[in-house]
Amino acid sequence: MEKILFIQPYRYGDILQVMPVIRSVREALPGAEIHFLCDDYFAEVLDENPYIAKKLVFPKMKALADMKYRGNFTAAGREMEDFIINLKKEEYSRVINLNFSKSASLIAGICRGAAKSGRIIGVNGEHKVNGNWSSYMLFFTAARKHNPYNIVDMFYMAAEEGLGLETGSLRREKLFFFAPRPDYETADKFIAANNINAGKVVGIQAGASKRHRMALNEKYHLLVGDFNNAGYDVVFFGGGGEKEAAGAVIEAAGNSARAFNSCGVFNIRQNYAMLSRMKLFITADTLNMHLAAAAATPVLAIFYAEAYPYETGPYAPGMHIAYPRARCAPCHDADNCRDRKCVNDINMDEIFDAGMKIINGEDFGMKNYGGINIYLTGIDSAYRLELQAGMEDAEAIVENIYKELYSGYWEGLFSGNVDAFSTRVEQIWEKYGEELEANPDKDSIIAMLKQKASEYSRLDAMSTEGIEAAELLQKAADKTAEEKALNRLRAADESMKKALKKGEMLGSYYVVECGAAANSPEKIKKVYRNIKRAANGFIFAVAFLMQKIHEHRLENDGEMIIV
Amino acid sequence: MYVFIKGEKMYKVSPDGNELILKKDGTMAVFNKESGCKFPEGSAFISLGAAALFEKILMVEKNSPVLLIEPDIEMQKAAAGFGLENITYADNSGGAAIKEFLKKAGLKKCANIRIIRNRDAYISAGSFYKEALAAVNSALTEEKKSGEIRSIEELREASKRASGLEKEVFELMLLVYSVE
Repeated sequence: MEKILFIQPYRYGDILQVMPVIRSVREALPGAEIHFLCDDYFAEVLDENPYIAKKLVFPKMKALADMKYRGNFTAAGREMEDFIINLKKEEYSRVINLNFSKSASLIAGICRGAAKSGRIIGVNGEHKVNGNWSSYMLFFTAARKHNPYNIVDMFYMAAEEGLGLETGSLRREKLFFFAPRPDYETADKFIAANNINAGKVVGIQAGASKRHRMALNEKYHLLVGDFNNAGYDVVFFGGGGEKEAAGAVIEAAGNSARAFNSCGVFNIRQNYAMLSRMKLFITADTLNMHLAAAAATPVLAIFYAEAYPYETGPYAPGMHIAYPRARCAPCHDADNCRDRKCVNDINMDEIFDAGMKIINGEDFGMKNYGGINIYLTGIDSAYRLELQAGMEDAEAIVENIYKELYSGYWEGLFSGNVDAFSTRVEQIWEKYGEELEANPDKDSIIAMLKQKASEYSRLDAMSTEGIEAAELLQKAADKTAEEKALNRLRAADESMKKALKKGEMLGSYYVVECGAAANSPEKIKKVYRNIKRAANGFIFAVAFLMQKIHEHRLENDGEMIIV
Repeated sequence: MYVFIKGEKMYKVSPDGNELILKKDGTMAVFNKESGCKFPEGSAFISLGAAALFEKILMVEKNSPVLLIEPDIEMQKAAAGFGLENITYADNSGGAAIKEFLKKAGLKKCANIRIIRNRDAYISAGSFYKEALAAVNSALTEEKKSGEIRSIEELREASKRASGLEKEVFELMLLVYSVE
């Protein structure tokens, strides 16, 4: 019988996003005994979960408090010792680490398991990442602009790899959560005590755990007024730390506003129950967004700056995401951003309009929202985002094509068949060709494709340099030759790191892969070769698509295009 | 380092007559009575009474330190006949002999020490065993105090010197403290 340990110790949202995977694993391996390891702060998320046989609690917060606030290292040592002793009593057939913190990785290294996947750190600092998708998860956030996968799908793929299953073999399940009946009663009591219109109530969360994911409070009171005028009461959600900010929004909405502050009132289960009573929930990328999606409450998530819809959008069908059209989004340095375009461009009239459309089940049609795109979520074999409004048609086509190219590339790389990429390109043409040909704005599509192609030409040149430098290093006969080769390799390394800073995906692939094999010219050469093949694949793909458009134009109106 | 406290009633602790020993990583090991006991290298033993030695339950590796607490001088002589080296004899279960023994055995870190505890044996061995156990606990407590870590710097230093379970504990504490 399989005895499987999943490690995901931190953050409510991350733990919640592993739950669909656990459910699917239980379905695929009904005899498996699944254990789940999380820390003492977040452990309550796992309560009532019928798919988990045993919850292992890592006493992180307790030990931290003992050391930092009580100065009691002995007590912390005992807690850690007891934890490790209990952990080692279990002998797992598989250990799947889905978290990349050092502590989670060390725990993965310490526990007893026949097969371990994910990041593993040994007690003496030795370090490795087992599994392609685990490697991918480790570096995708550095270049998320090109990431075509939702984090839940990544968890699925990493779990499939860790379990020795084919990618895509586990059935994709939507987010879920549990709350016992008394928690629903608590939520209903709050609604009754405040005389809230239970049939017509909208939830809003104006805050978030990260500053850059937080909305501007001065805008939210406008939403309160709009929803009140439409006959809807508003309840504000959030933790205790957000109570004051929500209070300020309610105050700004005026004395007669029908808005209520539930920040800090409920525990996580009661919050879930309360969210299930909402007709619509408007939020940034927060835990409550995932909880509302789990409760099948319609969500309109406003994603700012660092948040990226493909990556952390709610993993449930029928949810909506508003995403800024700012060219700089998604960004990697929100804390140092001065103009906050992604926040300032959000127009609350448009959010209200989109919200009412969602409540009333209306089609978005061709509506053009100035600063935002609206996406609709779906799940089939993987997470899917469907553009509802905002983005220009041509832009949307290029985005869709590139998302498919990127996923084709990664899947090809991990299956060891990057060359299968050309087949993918033909499939893409089959899928989008007609739409592309019919688009009146072909010139801008071509311009966007050319821009992409030039990015990959640079990567192609960089990888050629890397391959040559690695070869020179292998052949170096003396110290001088070795130093010369190393200098070239360092220069190539710098170029790749610059590419990473620009958010180019292959740059991050290089940094992580070569970082793990810094002393092996052979491995470095292999990584550069993969990048070169991938870059060539992208160049080929772009050229292929442009050629197709070109041929079509020649055929139809005889117009020449210089590529 | 291990400390095994052996008492004459202590080895019959599992239903099949074999004995269970709590190892330092927290797992239980079963030692077969017929084939003898193989203890980890570096073990130290405190035997309450010589009976365990007579019955060949304790197959002590050469040079493993043994403290035999046996008030009967004849029994002491008989135990010496087994040819085991490194045996310290004591005629009572008083704390001084035990503390001295632990010190000689190089037991400086309390985290490395596990004591076989068995409730039934504890009760049946009576005051003799209780006194010995109290003495060991007292010695360990003293060691704990002297080896106590009071700051993150001390923890870092201690981790460099540590190995095994202790190293795992310290490394995990360091990561927790750093609040990644």
